[in-house]
Amino acid sequence: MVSESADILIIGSGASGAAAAWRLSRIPGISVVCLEQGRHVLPGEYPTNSADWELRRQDSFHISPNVRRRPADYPIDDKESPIAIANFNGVGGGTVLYSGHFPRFHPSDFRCRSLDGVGEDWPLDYRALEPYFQENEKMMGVAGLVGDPANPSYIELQPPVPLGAGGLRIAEAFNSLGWHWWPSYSAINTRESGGRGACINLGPCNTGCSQGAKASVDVTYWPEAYRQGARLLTESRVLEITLNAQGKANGVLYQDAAGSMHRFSARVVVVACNGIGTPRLLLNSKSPAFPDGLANESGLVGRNLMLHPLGYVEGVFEEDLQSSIGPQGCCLFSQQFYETDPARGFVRGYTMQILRGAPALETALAGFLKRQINLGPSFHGDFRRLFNHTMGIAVIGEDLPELTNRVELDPERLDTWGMPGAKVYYQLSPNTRRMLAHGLDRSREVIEAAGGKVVASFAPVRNTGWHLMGTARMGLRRRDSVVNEFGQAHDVPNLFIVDSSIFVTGAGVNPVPTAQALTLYICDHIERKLGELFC
Amino acid sequence: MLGEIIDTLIPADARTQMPSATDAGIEFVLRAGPKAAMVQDYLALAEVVLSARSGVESGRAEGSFFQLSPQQRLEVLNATRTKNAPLFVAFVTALFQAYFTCPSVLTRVGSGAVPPFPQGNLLLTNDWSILDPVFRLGRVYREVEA
Repeated sequence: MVSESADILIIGSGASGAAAAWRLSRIPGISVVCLEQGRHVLPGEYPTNSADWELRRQDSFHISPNVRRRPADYPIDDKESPIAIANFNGVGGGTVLYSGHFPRFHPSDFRCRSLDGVGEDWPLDYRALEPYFQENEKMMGVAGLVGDPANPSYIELQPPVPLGAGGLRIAEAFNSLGWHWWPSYSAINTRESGGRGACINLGPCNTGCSQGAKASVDVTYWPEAYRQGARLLTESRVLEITLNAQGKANGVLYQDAAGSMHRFSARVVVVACNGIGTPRLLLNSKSPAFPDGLANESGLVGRNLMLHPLGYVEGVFEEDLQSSIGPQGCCLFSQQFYETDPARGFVRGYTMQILRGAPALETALAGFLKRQINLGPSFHGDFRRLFNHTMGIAVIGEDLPELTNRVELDPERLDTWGMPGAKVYYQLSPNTRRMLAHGLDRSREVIEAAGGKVVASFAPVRNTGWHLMGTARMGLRRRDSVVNEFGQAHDVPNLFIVDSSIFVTGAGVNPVPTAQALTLYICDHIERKLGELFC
Repeated sequence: MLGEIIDTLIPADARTQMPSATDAGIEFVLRAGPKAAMVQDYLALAEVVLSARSGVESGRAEGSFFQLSPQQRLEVLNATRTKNAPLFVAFVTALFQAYFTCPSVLTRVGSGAVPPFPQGNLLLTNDWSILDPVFRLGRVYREVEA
């Protein structure tokens, strides 16, 4: 067995792993290595380089690992969930295929129990994270507009992503209803910055950005981390985190692409494998000290999975809005119904994210299946009444932590290295259902106020399980959390978790900015405590 | 018969200047592409439906399709949907996948740059005074005591 070592070992190179590699490699004299199960994806490989990009995103760039089936993908059985799991296993992780929405959690999101009597309070608050939000936004490059009355003020943002004619129609509708809306906070360069080009409106950000304008961490944090001496070993699947006789983590066992087993020793281990991958690795790291999985004395590893159930409303407009042009996901959003109002019949709330129109092939197929497009002489006319004439509204609701929503190891389905896959059990709560129904009603009002005709309205949307949260949550008490307020495992002092699995609650916005801010916050703590940790 | 079938489903359209499926080169893609076996299955289904309709012996009905008017051809193809909906949907999906990844088709329908990269597309910047009513709403998030 090959043996290697570093001071700090990071597992996973996605949103949080990259931020950790950058931050920790700034500590003088410390060696930092990251192990990533996937490989680098070069910009030239992204689908938008070819006319058949809509086919390729249904194949090798599909959001589901079960469809994509790249060598780095592990099986995730999500049949017991109305929401299918989405991820990407490669350098940059999920940020390679995310849309780049970059909103922060709200101050109230850290105080669910105190304010609304549900979920749990976080062991830290918005103010503690605020400087890290700012630092992270500087590293990633975020477009938007300061002054949003639905969020504490941002200091500096790049110019917003343009609304387009469709976005403008929806914005005017929000104004006519007297509801909040704002141009999206987007991890998309709208001007050259950080050595990356400005957005040229390719459209499908969620297939990878050939231009490099979208802030996936392979083009933001990683180049800086390399410069500071961090090393990244790709196609390296960690099978187990190992312990020494004192019960401290002393490294990992991993396999390379050829199947050779390696032993990697480290003085501190940082896990950043997302809300499915992190509990999978911990549960697979069994030992006499932890027969139920590493750091799992509380029994909560894998529990409290939150996914942000999503509702969708689509409207068709008479005019050609050129709505398929522009960043598909990032346009504008509304947080009119984000904060709790007991009169609505549910607690917590949701964000409405306005989506641009579907591309040509998706429009044709959906129109055919919904019998909006007929074959034969009327085909082209029917198609043109839909294509570039639609706008969508995604309702992103906050689901609360529940013990029964969980991730387990799946010994029936193994990955290419022979490691068990993951099995997901998830159900929508009555509160979530009421919230989504409210969101669909309000979204239909918006479409109608904009002059559109509603042609689709449903929830939950199945292929939207991007936001993987809560499965190794943080807290002050060992009995009801896996890590403390600094992401440090209660049971293993030199083991840290920095991804969104440590979220206590999920809020109603995309998790990446908060996960990365949390990572930077935790890494500051690691640096302060390095002397103790290295003992 | 494949060319006639796909042109029945996606005919040329002078008003929108859209090519028919065969004019866009789709017949070759369907015959030689990864879904060629499914396409053959669909042609066999069409043959069965045509045979039942025309009374011609199965396996020899293809010629009768050419004698039909465009409307009659469409009726035959709709009958294949009734007889085997999954196969019909698979065939139409393959047809659409080929047609709507053809660069000339995408350009004519107004998809913007084809492929999207490296040319990209232009979106005009906005006049953000449209946000004046939102500013007037005042703060809509909850402040929380430290």
